[in-house]
Amino acid sequence: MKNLLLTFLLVLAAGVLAAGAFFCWQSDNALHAAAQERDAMKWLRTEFHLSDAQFAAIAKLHKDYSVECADHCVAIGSARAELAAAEKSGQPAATLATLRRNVADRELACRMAIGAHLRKVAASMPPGEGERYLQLLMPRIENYTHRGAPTVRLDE
Amino acid sequence: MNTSREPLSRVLQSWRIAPPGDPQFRTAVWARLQAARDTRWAAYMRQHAAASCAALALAVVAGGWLGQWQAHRRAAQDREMLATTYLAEIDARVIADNRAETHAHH
Repeated sequence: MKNLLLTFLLVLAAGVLAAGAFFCWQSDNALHAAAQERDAMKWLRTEFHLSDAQFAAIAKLHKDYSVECADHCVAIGSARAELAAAEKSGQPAATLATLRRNVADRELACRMAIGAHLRKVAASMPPGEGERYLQLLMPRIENYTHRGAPTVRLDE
Repeated sequence: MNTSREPLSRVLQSWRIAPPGDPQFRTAVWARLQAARDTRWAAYMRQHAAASCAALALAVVAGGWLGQWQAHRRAAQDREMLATTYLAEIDARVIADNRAETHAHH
């Protein structure tokens, strides 16, 4: 009985050791470090194997796009707020439909802009990585669904 | 063969043994017991060599698979979270959502 227990412990130790070794071997430590720091740019750099020059070019593209992004954000926020206020005050269905169309138009404009931006970023990546980047992110852009209550603050 | 007429019981009663004291006796006994125990496990392993090797191989393969699966699962979770964080920084619709949520909490 003691021999069987000893053998079982040996087998168990071998299994645990193998699990630990394979976990360490297969782990992407750079990816995990970026996740722990919630640093998306660090992730972009390691995930898509960017050189310093490529990373700098992409950082500049993001910086330039942030101005346009802020404009879209304000436009979408105000359109949603307008719609929320109209819904709250019981505006006619035709008015609500127009305001909903307005929100949809602004969101579509944002989607087109971000799609164009992602394609520019992809073009700055190494061959093959740009396609992978678009495959990972474009479906998320396309499948976006609005969540949460629309803001009623127009000044943000 | 005993040819003496003296009764055997009397001879036995007068028989005295005075063995020399051995200070290493206890240590030697434990060492022999340990050796016997080691031999028993080694013998057990030899006796069940095929089953033991199969169990070891199975444990290594299963452990390796589990470790690899855990590493891939963690990478997928990290990637998912980072992609979401990345888009939250550049997608105006998500930024507007987040702002609305922040205002709703306040």
